[in-house]
This record gives sequence, C-alpha cells and structure tokens, in this order.
Amino acid sequence: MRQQQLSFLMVASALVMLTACDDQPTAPPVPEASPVPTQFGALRDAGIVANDSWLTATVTSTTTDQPPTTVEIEAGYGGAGELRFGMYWAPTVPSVPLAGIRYVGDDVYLLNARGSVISQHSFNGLMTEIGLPGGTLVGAILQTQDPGDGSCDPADPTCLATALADPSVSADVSSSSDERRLRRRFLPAPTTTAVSGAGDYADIERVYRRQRGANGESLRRLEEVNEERRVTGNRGARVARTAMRIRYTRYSVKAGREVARASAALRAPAPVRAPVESPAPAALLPIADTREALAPFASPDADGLLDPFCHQGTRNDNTRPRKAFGGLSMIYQHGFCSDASAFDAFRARLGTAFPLSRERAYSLNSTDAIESQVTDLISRLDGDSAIRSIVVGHSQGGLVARRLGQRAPEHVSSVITIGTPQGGSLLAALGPEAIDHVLTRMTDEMCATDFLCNLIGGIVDQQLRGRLSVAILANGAPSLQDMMPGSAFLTTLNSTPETFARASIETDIGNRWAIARMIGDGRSDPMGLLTDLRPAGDAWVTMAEYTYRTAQTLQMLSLVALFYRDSWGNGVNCSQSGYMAQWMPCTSPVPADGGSLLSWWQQLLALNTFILTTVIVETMNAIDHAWDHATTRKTNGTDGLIHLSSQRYPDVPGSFAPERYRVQPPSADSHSGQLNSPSTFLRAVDAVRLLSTRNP
Amino acid sequence: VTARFLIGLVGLAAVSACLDAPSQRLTGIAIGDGRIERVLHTALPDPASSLQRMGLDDNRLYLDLMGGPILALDRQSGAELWRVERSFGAPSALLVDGSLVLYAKDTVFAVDAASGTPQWSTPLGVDASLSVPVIADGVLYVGAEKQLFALDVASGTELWQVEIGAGFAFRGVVRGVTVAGDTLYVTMEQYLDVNGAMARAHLLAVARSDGDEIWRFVDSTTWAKRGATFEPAVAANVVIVGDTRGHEYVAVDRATGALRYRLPNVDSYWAGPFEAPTIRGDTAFGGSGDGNVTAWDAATGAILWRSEAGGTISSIVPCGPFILAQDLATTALDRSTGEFLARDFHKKPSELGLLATRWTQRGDTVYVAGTDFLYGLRCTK
Repeated sequence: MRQQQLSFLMVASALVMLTACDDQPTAPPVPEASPVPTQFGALRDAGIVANDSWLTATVTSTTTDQPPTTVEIEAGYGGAGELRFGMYWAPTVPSVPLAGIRYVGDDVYLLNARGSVISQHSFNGLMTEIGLPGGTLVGAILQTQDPGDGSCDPADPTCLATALADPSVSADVSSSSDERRLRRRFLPAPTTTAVSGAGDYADIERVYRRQRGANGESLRRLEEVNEERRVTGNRGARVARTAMRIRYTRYSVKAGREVARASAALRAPAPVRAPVESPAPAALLPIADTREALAPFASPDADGLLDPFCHQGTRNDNTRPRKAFGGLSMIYQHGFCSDASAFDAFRARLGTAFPLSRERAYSLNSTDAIESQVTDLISRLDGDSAIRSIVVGHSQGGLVARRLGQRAPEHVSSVITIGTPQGGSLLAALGPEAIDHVLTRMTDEMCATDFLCNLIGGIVDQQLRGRLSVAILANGAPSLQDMMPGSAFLTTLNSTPETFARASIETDIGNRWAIARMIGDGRSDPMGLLTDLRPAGDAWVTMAEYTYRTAQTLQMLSLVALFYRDSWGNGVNCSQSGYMAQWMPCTSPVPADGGSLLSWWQQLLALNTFILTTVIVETMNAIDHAWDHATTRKTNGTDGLIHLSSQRYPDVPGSFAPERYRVQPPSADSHSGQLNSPSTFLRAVDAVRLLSTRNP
Repeated sequence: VTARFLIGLVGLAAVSACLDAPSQRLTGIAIGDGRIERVLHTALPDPASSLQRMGLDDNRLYLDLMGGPILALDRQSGAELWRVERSFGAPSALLVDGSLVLYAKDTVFAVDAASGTPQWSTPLGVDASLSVPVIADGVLYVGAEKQLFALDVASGTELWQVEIGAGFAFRGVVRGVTVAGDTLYVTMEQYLDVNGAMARAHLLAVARSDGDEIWRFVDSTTWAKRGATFEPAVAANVVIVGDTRGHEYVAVDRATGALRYRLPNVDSYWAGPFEAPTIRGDTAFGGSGDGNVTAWDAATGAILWRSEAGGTISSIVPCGPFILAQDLATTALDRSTGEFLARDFHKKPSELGLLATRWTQRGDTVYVAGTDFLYGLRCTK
C-alpha cells in the first residue's frame, strides 16, 4: 500500500510538472522523439494501439524521504477507445514486487517487474473518483499535444515534444487524426466542466431567455395598447382590443397580426411614454416602483391580495435538547413568502420517527437576497454552540440551506432539499412584459373564435391580470432575482464544492391541471400530515377534470342538437328494439322542409349550452396552458411550480452526487403542499435515515 | 318531448362524467391463473415507521408505529392485542423468537409476545436503531455503530461482542446482519468524513460462534461513495448487497469475498436500491431507486427481465405468481415476465394513505403497513 501511495505521489508530481511545463512562455530546444525506455519495455501497455495517439514521459520522482526514482508514464487510448494510463518504475525495495500501476477505463492493475498482473481492481467512474485531479491532469498531458494556438502542426511528430517543453518528455504521435480524437474525448470545453450538470438547466435558460426577450417589438406595441387603455378607459380599450382581435383573425401569419396591432395603435392616441425595452434581470423595478407601475393593471381587489401574498412571519423556534442522550440536530428552512411555521407538521412527525436532540427553525425575510438570508441565518446560528445539523430546506429554503453549508460548513452535516429550484424558476423570471405575453397568448391565440377570445379576454382582465400582477410585484424581490435561471447567485451556488452529505426530493405531479393541484394543496391545512387530512390537491384535480369532461360532453351534445336535421334520421326504424325513446326523429313531428327538429327555444337552449360549455372548456384549457407555459413549457415534469429538471440537485464539481428521491403520481403533492405531503415526508425520512449523523 | 330531451341530455352528460370518474377499485385481483386477495385490512392509530420490517409469528403481527407505540395485532382479524409505549424514535426491526419480541435502540428490549410484558433489557451503550438485527437458534445478532453483539435471546446475556470498525477515523454504521449456516454476513458503512458525504461500504463474513472475521469486502477507494442501508441477501454462491449510494447491486463470492458482479440501476441518477434483493431459488428480485424492478440470475448477474414499476422503490417481495413493489404505492408485476399487472389494487378510493414499511412475508401471504392501514395480501395461483 505504501508503494501505491508513493506511486501516486510520483505520478501526481510528474503530472504537475508536465502541466507546469505547458505554461512556460518560451519553449526550449526541440528534443528528438525517443522510443520507450527499454528497461520498462516489459511493462509497456500493449493495449495502447500501436498506430494510435499516445505519449510517454520520463520523470524523476523526488518524493520526500524516498530515493529518487525514475518513473515512466504513458497515456493514450486503447483499441476500444478507453483511456489507458500507466506509470512504471524500478522497484527500489526488492521485497516489494510492485513495479507499475495501470489504469484502463475503470480498472486498476498492479504489475510486477515482468509486467505480469499482480491484482486487478474495478471501480466505477475511476477518473471521476480518484481522477477528479488525476483525470484533469491526464487531460492536461494530452492537451499539450497541441497548444491550440496553431503553432503545432499535427502532422509533425516532434510537435508534441515542442509543446511539452520538457527535454525529459518524449513523444510518439504517429496519427494526427487519432490525436484529434484524443482531444475531443478528453478535453471538454471549460464551460462544460465548470458547472457539471449545467446541461440540465440549458433548457430552462433557453426558455427563460426566450420568454424574457420574447418578441420585444410586439410587446412594445402591446404596451402601447395598454397605455391607450389607460388613456381612453376600459370600455374604449375593450372595443379597440376586440377590433384588433377581429382583424387578427384575418391574418394567419404573424406579420398580419403585427400590421393589425400597428393599425390599432395608430388609431389610438399617441403613447405618452417611450417604448419599454425588455429589461435585464438586474434592471427590474424595485418593489415600490413596481407597485406603482402595477396600479393601472390591478383588478379592484388586487390591493387586498398583495399583503397576504407574501406572508413573512417572525416566529423563531429554537427547541432545546429533548433528550439528554444524543439524537439528530435539525434545522428547517422555509421557502419564499413563508416562515418557520411552514414546517410545524413536518417536524412534529419527524420527531416521532427519529430521536431529535435539537430543532431550529428561523423565520428569515424571504424576499431579501438569498446571500443576505444566509448571512442572517449564520448570525443566528452563531449564537448557539456549533453543532452540525441536518438542514431541511423547502423550495427557496433549499438554496438557503445549500449556501449555508457552503459558507458555514461547521453548522451543516447534511442538506435535504425539497422542491428546490436548483436551476432557477421560470415563474421567477416573469416580468411585466412576460406576464402580458402569457396572458395575450391565452386570450389571443388559445381560443377558437373571436367571440370566445373576447369573453376569455374579459375574464382574464377581470380576474387574472390583476392577480398575476402580484407576481410582477414579487419579481422585484431580490430573492426572486436570485432565483432567475442563470443568475449570478445560482451560478455561484452551483459551482461551489459542497463537503456535506446531500439529498433531494424531486416531485412530478404531471402537467395537466397543475395549477388546480397547487391551489388545492395551498388552501388545505392538514394538521396531522400523515393521517388526519391530506393536501386537497387531489380533490381539486378531480373537480377540474370532472368539470372539464362534463362541459366537453355537453358541448358536443349541444352542437349535435343544433345541427341535427331530419335528413339525418331518414331510414331510422323507430320501432327497432332498444332504440332510445328520446331519439328525436321518433318523438318529434318531422318538419316537411327537413330543417331543425328543435323548436326555437330548444335551439336557443342548445345554443346557450354550447356557448357556455365552450367558454368553460376554452377557459380551462387556456388557464392550464398558460400556467404550463409560464412554469414548465411541457418540456418535462413539474411539481406545479418548479420545473422537474430545475429540481435536480446539481453535481457540483469537487463533490459527490447527492442522493435523489423521485416522487411521482399518484402519491405526489404539488409544490404548495409538499410540507404537508405524506409522500414527501416519507422520502425525507428515508433520506434522514441514509444521511444521519448522530451528534452529541 | 322537451322534458325527455333535457333528461336525455343531462343523463348522457352524467353517464359520460361518471365514466371518467375514478372507478371503484377491487379488493382483490384475478389475473390468469393467479389471484391476490386482501385477507387483512386494519386501520392504524398512527402511521407505521418508514422502511421498517414487521415482526411476524403464527398468531400475531408486531408493528412499530411512528407515533410511539409498538403494537401486537391478531394476524387473522387485525385486532389490537397489546401495545408497548416507548420513549424514543423508531427502533431497529422487530424480531420474534418463540415467546419473545425483541427490538433495540441503545438497549435491547425483550417483551412477552402474548402480553407485551417486559421480560429483560440489555444495554448496548451504542445506537443500534439504524441496523437490522437477526435471530438464529436462540441467539440475537445485532450491530450498533462499529460493534457487533451476540445476545442470548432467553436471558439477554451477552455471548460475545466484537468491534468490526476498528481503525475508522470517523463513524461506522452497521446496517444489517444476515445468517447463513455458521456464518454471519454483515453490512457496514464507514464514513470517510465527519458528515458522511463520503462513505465506504464493508461487507463482512464473521463466524457465528465468536465473531471472528472470515473475510471482508471493502467496496471502492478512499474517494468512493458507497453504502448499504439494510442487511445483505445470501444466495447459493454469492452474497448480494443493495448499494444505496452507489446505485447498484454488488455481489461477492460467498466463500472468498471476491467481487463477482455489479448490477447498476438503469438510471444512476436516483438513490437506491434500498434493500438487498429477495432470493428465490437461483433468481434474485430487486427494486431500485429509478423505479425499475429487475429479476436476474443470482449467480451470474444475467438479467432475466426488467420492468418499470413507478417511483423510487422501497421494497419488493415475490408473492405467488406476482412480484409486489412498494414505492409508497403498490405495483403488481408478473413474476415470470415482469409484465405490469395492476397498481394499488388493494385500496379503496377512500384510502388515500401511502405505504411505509417493507414487505413481510409468511407463506403465501405478505403484509405491509402504511400511513393509515395495515394490509395483508394472499397471492395464489
């Protein structure tokens, strides 16, 4: 074992030398490419294909307290494309047979001086596990084959040695094409290595950017229309918008709509203010200004919505040790617009599942920047003796918990995140223009007819625009700006190594009726968590589905009734056994002209039924689609608010992957019901069991 | 005419809506020649402890509840026979040996199986609540932290104890013990830092007679992240561990402790598997964190079938011609093909609770408890 450690030190120092050499500004004279030293010929890795790219280095280890040792290093690809990396030396102690170590893919071989394998060990992700440093340095060796500045001709076999800039390093590059393959396989671009798992968030960021910058010109014009509405009053604006919609439908292409919008805008009084550019996240309005800016949009009861929307209590709990004997120390961190009481049921139940020595839950100002919240939390924890705790964070609280562990690891043994927007929240990205964009899509594009567009537009204006304006207000909150995909905070958070154990609970409730489940869960108040009551999301989803299906059925039936004609019934034998008595041709007088079988008031009833049910169906579809559009875009699952891929706990470089638990229907509750959800709780218990560390 | 028209319209809408409403679930399900019947259905006063395994004998079921008490229930009727209050969080698994029920935290407790009357208690001095103990031939083998104890079941007298985590710089957690022949197979996690963010899994074979170590398989390197949450499973020639943190099953040679094969999750993103596979004959059945259930040849690791059963799977059990998987809900698969058959078939729509415990089996009947009910399911061909 000592020999292995020595070897590792040797190769580490050798690799550092090599990479250091690569950084030298000037290259020394080019040495001749030398063959592999003969004394190590027996150890040569025959698996490195002769005509493949590979390289060797001869370095002298000067490990402290050890005699200088010549170490041969070779690296390359085998025929199967696997990484092969070996280091060989002459044993200085005859009784120790080890003369080489060879890494092939995920296998490690220990070799004797004759090149025979003494033992073999298999590891998963070797280059990731031991190789976080090693793999990088191996990459560095290979990178030196081509400095990347165009000074190295890949066809020149001496070029490698030029780049290595070390007379003790020899090169054998006999295939430039294979060399290119080496680079491609080994040296990912720095942007992808800096934040491993960034690909998970690419989709969110892409959607976010599209959303933020969505068609800025049309949004500007919409802003003009809104301005016009403010000037001319709601009635006039409604007429103008109706006219616009009628005109829109005459064009099937976007350009036509643009013309119609422009025409409407020209008829309206000139805009009072300059066009509004789509703001960058950092340039969002502060809360006070946003509130003022919101005033014209808000529905009459919107003011009443603002205060209770962001409940920020001040209750702090610092439960002293329950037991004289050891147990788990817990910290619970609430999410956005919440407080310590959010965890009441959760912690009461957790105390029955595990012995707990200490529980702490602090109410932070959740609209502050997350870094500020963490600073606040650290200052409160510093008041207590430093005991490592398991920190359970819900939603934004998971980000606070992770940052706490990064900044004050002396307080944190493990972090468990629940429904946390690790990659940001699309909803947090909603600015005023994006909300208008979503609502305009809902009212202009998702309804079937102009009539319905107007009806739905009215409902949206009356009910939704004001309520969603709350989100605009929240958008000014620094913490929500931190949760915007790609924000500086998230970039820092997701690229900082974490030395504590981690687990995440990730929930997918399905996209359909997600908002109904959110509302249902949010309005329920189960005290028992596991037995007394469940979050009410299931009931709301059932109700939404039932309403939708019923309306859809009535819609179809009334449509059939409206267009039913005598001619449809020709040939029907009404005396046929089992025929419905209510079948109209059998019970109604048959008009001679073959017209409708319904009387005028029956037709009116059917028409009204059709209109009403169509409005219900279209409105429900529009709301569902708009919510999905604003939060997930159907690209993946959701917990009702946070995109499933955003809930993924990232693989932070330098740390090991966290343990992730998947919660799926039918047991899943939405974001707003997670802390009262039995499924989330049971998975949290599993995570605590796996990660628990007893503290005295 | 008008009235009939309206009645017909409303009636059709109602029928249509009803067709979309959740259908009444069955309390039993017949598939081909097989059938699963709900033979026990009892409301629980508190939720059952998550991932616990119930105690079971000819007459009674013993169940640990998250709210505090340990219950003894009649196996046939589900009626409560006695309850013992405890003053700490969930203990280790409940074990039954003749007339005694045993469980442990930092002390091993034995109570009378018929009445719940305390019989004896033996302090261990270290926490055993994260370990699954085992009883064989009147001896209780229980792991706690880095220690392994053997106690006489009749008296609670300590027969021997050994430290199997000597030299660990940080914490060690014995996760479970299994008996096969004259050998104990023990899973243990060695924390490689104070937080346990890094860990190394150990699988040991020790002599039942005195705790002497026969061999030890240590999975992976210093930088590895490995862990086994529960006891290992023993097949004819291999011992298999569910590597919860490594997201795979690991099989080692039963005689030498040499690595035989690894069987990784389909999607290594998710944690688990949470328990060792269940061995039946030459076949191993296991559920993993990615929601898949797999049947494979225990000796070679060759996959026989693999089927997706839901979310993260906590426990599975072969039951007659079926495989039942618990991912907080129940999924029934065909045992020979892995074909999906049914989900939550044993619950009425009004039963909204979730499953919590591992499966416990006796003959053709399996038991599982959840947040509100205890179920007994009989599987027959």
